Amino acid sequence: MDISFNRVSYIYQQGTPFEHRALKDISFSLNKGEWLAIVGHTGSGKSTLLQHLNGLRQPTEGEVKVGDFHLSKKNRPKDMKQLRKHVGVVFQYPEHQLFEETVQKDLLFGPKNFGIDESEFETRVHNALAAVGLHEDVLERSPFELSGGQKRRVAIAGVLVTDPQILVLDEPTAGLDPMGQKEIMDMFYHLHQTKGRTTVSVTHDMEMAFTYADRIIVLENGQKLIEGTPHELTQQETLLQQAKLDLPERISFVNKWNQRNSSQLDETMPISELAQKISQELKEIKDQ
Amino acid sequence: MTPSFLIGQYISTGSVIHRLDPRIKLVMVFIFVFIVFFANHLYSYVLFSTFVIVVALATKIRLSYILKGIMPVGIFLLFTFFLHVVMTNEGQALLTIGPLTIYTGGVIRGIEISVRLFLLVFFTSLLTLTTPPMAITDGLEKLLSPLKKVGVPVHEFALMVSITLRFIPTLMEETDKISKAQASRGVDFRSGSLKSRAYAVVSLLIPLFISSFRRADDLALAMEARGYRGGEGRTNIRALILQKRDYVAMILYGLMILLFIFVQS
Repeated sequence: MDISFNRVSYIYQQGTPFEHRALKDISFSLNKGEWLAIVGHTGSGKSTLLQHLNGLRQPTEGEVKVGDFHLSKKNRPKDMKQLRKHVGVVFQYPEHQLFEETVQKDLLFGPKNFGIDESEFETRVHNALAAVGLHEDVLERSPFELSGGQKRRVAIAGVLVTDPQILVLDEPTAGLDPMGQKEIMDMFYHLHQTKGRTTVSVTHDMEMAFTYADRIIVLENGQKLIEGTPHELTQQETLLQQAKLDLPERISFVNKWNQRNSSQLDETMPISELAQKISQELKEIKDQ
Repeated sequence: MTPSFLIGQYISTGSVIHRLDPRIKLVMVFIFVFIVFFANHLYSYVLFSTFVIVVALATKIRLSYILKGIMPVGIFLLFTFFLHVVMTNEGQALLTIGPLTIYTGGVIRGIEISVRLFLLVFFTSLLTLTTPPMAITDGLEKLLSPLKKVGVPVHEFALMVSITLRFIPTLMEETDKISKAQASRGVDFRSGSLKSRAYAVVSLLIPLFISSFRRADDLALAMEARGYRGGEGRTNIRALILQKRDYVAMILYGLMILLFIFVQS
């Protein structure tokens, strides 16, 4: 499913002293199978934007299109459930949504709500567990007796089990250790690659955005500041600083290296190759 | 958050009314609640209405906004009005609808009660609009502190209230988050059979309970880690000291009451 935002604005508590314009005139489009990262600082409006993707919020102005679903101030799709079935959202600390007695029941919560045929339940649960790397032993256990990392995986499986065509990720790795972060993100990347899922991830972690996304949108104060491929963003360091964002360390290092030694290193090459090139250039500098 | 329901919501504008000592404001509201029910003269209502409106203007909060906030109470007012109109059998009969006869006394009674209640709600909402919940609790604790001597745990009570107030927005936020997460998993809180809606609420309540317990635990630990051991010998960081404006307010309020007594007799 394609996604498009056409001049979308969102105002919180309109007409009260607490009125707050969280999104200002946002337009972009996203094709099936792309990974878009939305980056911004706290309060930049990225979470508000995300909530438009499955109809949790309707734009105050403008129009959001997700596949055949159109959302605007006046237009609310009648079959909201269908939209939400196709757009799976993994929120921050998704383990907070667990509530059932057993993992199995919790995983089937979504499929039951969406009216998915019971005959598919077994394979769906099996696939979702496999995707997050959990053993089927956990199915009969209470989600509350699992470890933190396992809980999070169960919660993510609870979203994947409905097999959404669009996956929306709201910092799903917050609070995990670096190893766990990488595992979870690699898992999402694998799903994205093998199943051709459209993915929208919201994060303030530039490293993550640069590693996984095909395209990045930088939000600041509810406005779109930059849109481009990770490579294009490497040339926008000043604009990024305005949004209080840093380029990933590797890229800013390569940028500085290229400037200082007037060389032409490419930041997209694998890190081992990059290291070799740098040591080569270092030797050349020494020899001169 | 539902912006239409304002009672209990604090709006900061920094006006004189905002800066008044919470104790003064509490006592004023308390006395007001009391005397408003003694009013039975037209001029008394005029006096109270003028007073309340002047105070409302002094808060610098938009009048339309305050009125919008107390709208929900309107239904209740209407209900009491009709109850009085229908139930009172005094004065002349105005009209008869089936078994019901409406008397002039009933209409007057209904209007009186509605006006009193309206003034009451309006003035009380001014207290909560201009005083942060924490200041109200501080004020209450100070006002009730004489009761400590007879063994009433005033400090503990005040602490309980402030913790409750402190966690209302947090829990609202949490509810919002969890309901969004569950809505994304296809829960419909608004429609469906009674059974499915009950189940929807369960999917919201259990995570909410768990997170409240977790927060309570964290808070208890944080308080102990910082050496909290009850109210004994504890001082308050926001010491309440009466300022000149508080005395002025008290004098003005006293004058208003004197005027009221004069009008009534």
